[in-house]
Amino acid sequence: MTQLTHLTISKAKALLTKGEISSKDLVQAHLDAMEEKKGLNAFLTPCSDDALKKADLSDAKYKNNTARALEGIPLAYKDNFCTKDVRTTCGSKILENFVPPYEATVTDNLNNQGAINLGKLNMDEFAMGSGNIHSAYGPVINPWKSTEDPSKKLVPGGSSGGSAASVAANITMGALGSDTGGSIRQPASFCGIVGIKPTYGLCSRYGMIAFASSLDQAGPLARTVEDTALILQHMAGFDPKDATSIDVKIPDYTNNINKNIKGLKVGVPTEYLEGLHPDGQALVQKGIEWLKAEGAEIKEISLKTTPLALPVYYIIAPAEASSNLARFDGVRYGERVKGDSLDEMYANSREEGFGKEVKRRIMIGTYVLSAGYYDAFYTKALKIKHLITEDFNKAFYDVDVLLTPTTPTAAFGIDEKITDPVTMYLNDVYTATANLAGIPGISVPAGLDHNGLPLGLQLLGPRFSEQLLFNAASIIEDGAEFKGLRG
Amino acid sequence: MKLTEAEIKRVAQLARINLNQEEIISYGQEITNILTWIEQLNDIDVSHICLTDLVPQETMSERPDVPNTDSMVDAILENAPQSSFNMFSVPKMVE
Repeated sequence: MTQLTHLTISKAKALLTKGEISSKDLVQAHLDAMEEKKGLNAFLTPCSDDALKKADLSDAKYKNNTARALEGIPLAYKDNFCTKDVRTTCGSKILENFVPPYEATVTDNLNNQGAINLGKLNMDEFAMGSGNIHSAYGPVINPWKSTEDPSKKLVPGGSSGGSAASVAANITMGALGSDTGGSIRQPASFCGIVGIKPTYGLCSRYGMIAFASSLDQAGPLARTVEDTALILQHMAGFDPKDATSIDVKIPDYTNNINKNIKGLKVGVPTEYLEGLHPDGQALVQKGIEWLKAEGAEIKEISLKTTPLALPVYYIIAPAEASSNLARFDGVRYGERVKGDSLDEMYANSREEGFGKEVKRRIMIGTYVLSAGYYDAFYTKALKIKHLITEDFNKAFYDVDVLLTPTTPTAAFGIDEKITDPVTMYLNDVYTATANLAGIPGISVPAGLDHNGLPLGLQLLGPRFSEQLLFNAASIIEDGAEFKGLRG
Repeated sequence: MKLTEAEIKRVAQLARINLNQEEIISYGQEITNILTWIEQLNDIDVSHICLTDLVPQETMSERPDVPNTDSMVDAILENAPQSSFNMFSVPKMVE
């Protein structure tokens, strides 16, 4: 008998089209899995009743041959996407009761193709974090267990931790995440699934609660490269409501996946391998072999600005966050804590509503933008960001794509209590570069570390090279023969 | 770069975030560590880069100049912590 929660989206679509399964059964199976795996704390607001109603409509559409591209497919959305009439907290107490009166463009696009939202997914508060330990609603648990200590609870990565954990645990067939410095690719790597951060401007940011607007980008997570491509294809596209949205034709990524990579030039930047754990080194070597075996040419290259990316990121992202989060002041929406004056009300509301990490980043951002420090920190960071982009541009004259590890290590324990923020920030050392340069990056599960935990390989390409990334990623996927979680 | 207690209080005031004494000390230490880590950028020479180099290369798309008359006042006020006369209500700000 078909285990409905273990199907890929492509396979489920085929079975739905043939009438061999119904969307209602498919959705119900995933809702049962959600209930059974409640302990992962992946969902903040389930949309079970609505999902079942929509499944009935999808089944009717299959019967009368009007099914759309994602008809009846259960997905789930990170809680920083505004969903009309469905609570959207962004993982924060300050938005505990916020019910948006409008829908984000990317979720609207998916809904219009028949996708069914199972619910809103847990995340680091305002997408600030790399372990999903900074949610006001408690941490998300990684469904993977270490062979060394199976009782140890592991982080799923962050900030799209609920998205990655729910896809890996077969609670949903795919999920929406957002990536500002690695928040799709790092959790995808920690949970053994695929995740792509598209080119900046490919997906609309309208209705996605802003963290750092010049770096934020929405993207999908799924269990296969093909499914990830399918979701991206239907969420991307020009949106007049987002001034940074770019008007380009979105290719049929899924049907255009081409495994003939003969002659593809793959660069391996040496800076990404310095000091890397032997597990990661071995995996990159395997990645090189899989790509070489299919005819790719491997070239060692240097991206000298790599070590500058994280310090630059931790100026630009908090600076933009301090400005974006100024809107949460208890006036128009969200939590209000009374005060005798307007200023006192602002400060009381923000003290009560924001968590520790969010306050820390707002403080850093406010400091680097303040009089006397703006040029020394912010303007300088913008100029170095330009150098990083130029560095990538030069690299892409010589090679078509870059192969790197996604993360320095596999998932760590929730109780490891990394108290030093700088140590925590280093999780994004291989991913933040793509956000600064505005280029796409995909993480593909490629193997396990010495504790049996998943590790991903990352492919980076020039702007709008998503198709190329899907092609190369599918070679790594085939080579790795990665087995996801059973059960 | 060490941030003084007075600087942390000034930044918190600018950010409109109340901090207690314990937080002033802990945030002061953490932010000092982060800024010290960021100081590695001081050695990078960016004198050859002009601010105009940072302008994005894409041409922004134009959209038709069509007025949108959708009224969402009621829907927006649904989320207001306090409202009256179709407006957001806040504590008195002018004496």
